[in-house]
Amino acid sequence: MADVVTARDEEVHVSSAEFWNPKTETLAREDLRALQLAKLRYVAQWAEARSPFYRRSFARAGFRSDQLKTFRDLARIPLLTRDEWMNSQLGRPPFGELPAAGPAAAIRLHTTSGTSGRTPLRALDSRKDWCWTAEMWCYALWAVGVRAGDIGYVGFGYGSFIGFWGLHNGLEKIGALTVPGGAQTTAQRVRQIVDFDATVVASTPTYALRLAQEARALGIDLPGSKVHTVILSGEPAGSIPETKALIEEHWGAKAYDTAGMTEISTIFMFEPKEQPGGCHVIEDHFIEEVLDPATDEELPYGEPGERVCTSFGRSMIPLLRYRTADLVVKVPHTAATSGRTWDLYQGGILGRVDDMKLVRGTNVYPRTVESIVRGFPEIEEFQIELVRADIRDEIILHVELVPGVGETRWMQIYASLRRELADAHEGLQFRVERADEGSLPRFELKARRLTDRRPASAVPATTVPATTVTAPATTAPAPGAGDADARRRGDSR
Amino acid sequence: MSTDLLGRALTAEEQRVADLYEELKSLLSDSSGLPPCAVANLRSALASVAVTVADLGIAYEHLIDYGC
Repeated sequence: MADVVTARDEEVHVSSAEFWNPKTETLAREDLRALQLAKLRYVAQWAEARSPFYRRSFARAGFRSDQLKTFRDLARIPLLTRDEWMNSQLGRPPFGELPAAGPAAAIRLHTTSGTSGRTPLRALDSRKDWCWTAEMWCYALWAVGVRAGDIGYVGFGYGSFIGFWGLHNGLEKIGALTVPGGAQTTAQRVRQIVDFDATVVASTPTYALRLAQEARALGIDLPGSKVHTVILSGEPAGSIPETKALIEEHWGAKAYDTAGMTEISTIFMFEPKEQPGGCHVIEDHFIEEVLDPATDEELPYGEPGERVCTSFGRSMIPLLRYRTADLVVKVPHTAATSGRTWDLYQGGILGRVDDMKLVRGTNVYPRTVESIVRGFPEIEEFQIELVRADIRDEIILHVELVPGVGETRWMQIYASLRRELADAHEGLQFRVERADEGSLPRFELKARRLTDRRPASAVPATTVPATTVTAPATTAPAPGAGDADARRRGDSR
Repeated sequence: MSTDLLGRALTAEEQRVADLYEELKSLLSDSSGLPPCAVANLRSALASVAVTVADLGIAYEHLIDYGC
């Protein structure tokens, strides 16, 4: 019996593999391009043959799928906007004319979160689509060391928002014991994480901090728990070094960023274990372009621009050159040491190309403000408010402190915040106000921390012209960014 | 199929995966003699194997017409 290979032996062998998919994660760039082109041709043909929307869109642009001879022909495919998708949905409810088949061919219906206040997009997935959704999460989970022996806790509401459904299924696919943490209070979730000996926790960055606050209030020692990995998604904050450092400190665990969207059903990038300050694009399943939002021309490595996504996963709703409005900076795979040949988005999702606010002539990005605020561990929650006072715009930062911070320390924080915010914004003076304990909103899904109360007609356009696209300040973490002990800012500030 | 999407010869293990994929498609292309329990589970199996062949660059196609 000595030569019999048991299932356990196989499990150990598989678990020691460095990559979820070594064949494509380490594929030479020219071969990766060839693989993408082969898949692109198929998806374009599929969309042309099956989707009334794409048939019309292609015809208007004078494009035919048989024109895809080389990778450069990708630019012939017309860009798709969210508004076009939404208009199609509104014009031919409930799903519009993007789908390649009707709902009878689908097994899942999910929507966007609706946190933006806009009408949610509705998305359909077939059996294979849904299996693929989990597969993309497996790339990310495996890359950060999640294995069959882990216990994964999913701090998520399990509703029609697609959120962490794919992660849940990805954990199961890897063989991890998976705990769905839906329909519970934050306190109940914290207790379950500890009671069930969870080793991996998944949530938004904001909610990871909220869980940690609740643990402190309950007297639960999270850093002393068995959690070794926190998987972040749903907000750009997962790649803000100061936010991630705070999460890692409060959890005593490593935190890794991922990003996805309902429009593709899953994630398209993940941060590898080495935490190189960015996230690998899953390039065997996606083509990711970074375009100048004004000219639609592709930008070179290192230039901030709009992320445009082509997905090879979802058969029910083909996605070709979708304008995401995400602001990103792509860097070559050599910026990381993971051995993968996949390019990265440095600093993850830097924000939205349209979330820059112009205040008295100065660009303000919410991400930059958050990176400064998170440097103060005494700040539990915050909100940014833009108002018009007479003819002058004002920007107010409301901060809520953890209980017990005295007036002396508050005045130090106040002065430091004012100075750092001004330094990061060309001298723009922020009004900083202390909010009452528990008065600011808390978030479980996507946090909304900026309210613009200025009269609409007087608010300058916020879409970033191509010539002024700049990455938000303090968003280019150094290699190793995310080490919990590396960036804490002490009381001396 | 004997080569992957890049035109490279399949390994012996990849060939077995490719054969399994084709067999599942063949089964589901005419499943009239199979009970619902078999059809549903074979569709789930085909979905998983289809993701496998796409991951490995062996084949790539959508399978809505197979109920996947």
